[in-house]
Amino acid sequence: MSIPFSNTHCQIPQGFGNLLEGLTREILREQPDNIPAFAAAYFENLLEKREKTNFDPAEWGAKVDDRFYNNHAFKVQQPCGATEPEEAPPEKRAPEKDTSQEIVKEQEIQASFVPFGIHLQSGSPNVELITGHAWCLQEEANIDEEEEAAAAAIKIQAAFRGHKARKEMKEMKVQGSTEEQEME
Amino acid sequence: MPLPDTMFCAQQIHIPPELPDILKQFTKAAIRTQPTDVLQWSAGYFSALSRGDPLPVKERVELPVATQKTDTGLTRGLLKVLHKQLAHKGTVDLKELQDKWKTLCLPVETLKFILKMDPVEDAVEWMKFFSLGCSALGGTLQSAMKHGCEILTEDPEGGPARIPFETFSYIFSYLSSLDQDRTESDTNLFLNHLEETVVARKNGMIGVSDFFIEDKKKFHPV
Repeated sequence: MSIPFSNTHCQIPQGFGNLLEGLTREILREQPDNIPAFAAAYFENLLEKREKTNFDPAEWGAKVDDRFYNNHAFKVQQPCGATEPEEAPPEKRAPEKDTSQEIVKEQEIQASFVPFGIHLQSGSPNVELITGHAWCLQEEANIDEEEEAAAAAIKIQAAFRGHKARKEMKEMKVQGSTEEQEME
Repeated sequence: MPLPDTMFCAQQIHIPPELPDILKQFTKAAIRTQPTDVLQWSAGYFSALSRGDPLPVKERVELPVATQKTDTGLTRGLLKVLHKQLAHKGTVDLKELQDKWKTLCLPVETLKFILKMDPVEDAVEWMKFFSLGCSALGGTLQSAMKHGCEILTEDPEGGPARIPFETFSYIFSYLSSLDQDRTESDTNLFLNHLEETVVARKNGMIGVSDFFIEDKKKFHPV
């Protein structure tokens, strides 16, 4: 990359270096007889891949080049794991502090890996897996919460019933004692 | 001694002798053309190179170039590239035109918009499409003709931008015929007038300054 914010006329297009490097590496590896034809096939293949997975090596390269100035570009890919839990209704979020912390931890770990994992794609199973995991945790938390509520209700009911029963017993006792007194 | 299969050092990598030059030309082309979508353009570049077609490369950097992804309009340099690639065919397949169009990272909507001005089936006469492209570059007929001259001319950049009068009159009458406001007799009168006054003394070539002045005299009499 040339100096940012300069008005130099000749700039290398964003992410071009990444494409050039990839192409050269593949040519050296495969040693094709007809280099232009091989290169054409190589880029066609990359284009196809981009249509399928939406991963553009040039765009990626531009981000890597620009990383020093704009580290936030890498966070754009992150939210596919992070947005979903945030969309959950707020009343559900309060009791599941533990799980949300875990999610944050996972994101941190993932974030620390992403800049090195050049092959990581936004739709890769890795991210989906983590997202799925986060959802599972959330589900578990919901179940726990329901169980707790049920247990609490049972407790309250039990206490109330016990209280009622004791009251009845007292009344019975009082009645019994009066009867005894009358007998005497 | 045969080379071992395992790689021990960088010297073992065989570099094809033509590779450095290919990469260098490729890089120079990318810097000159400044494509908005590098991947798409690279694919087009190498497919043209492998077939021996003219390359999708601008002759020089075009300054007010659209570098942002949002701004992807047709520019004079891009139309010139298309002209270089397709002009020798005479009649161009729409599919091929679309391919070349995409290689230059131009939006398909613009192509459709241009083709809508004079709908064709599946092949378009290149000079007609070129004329339409010129009119898309400049709003009025005069500025369209100016763009056309500056693309087609063999004069150096900044020169008088002269083109053969035949080409000029072809583009001019084609574009005028699409414009309902201009009658055929008007067009012919204008062209004849130009031919008499300009062409006779300039070797059959007409430049931008010639028709601009003539046009003003003709249509806006003071």
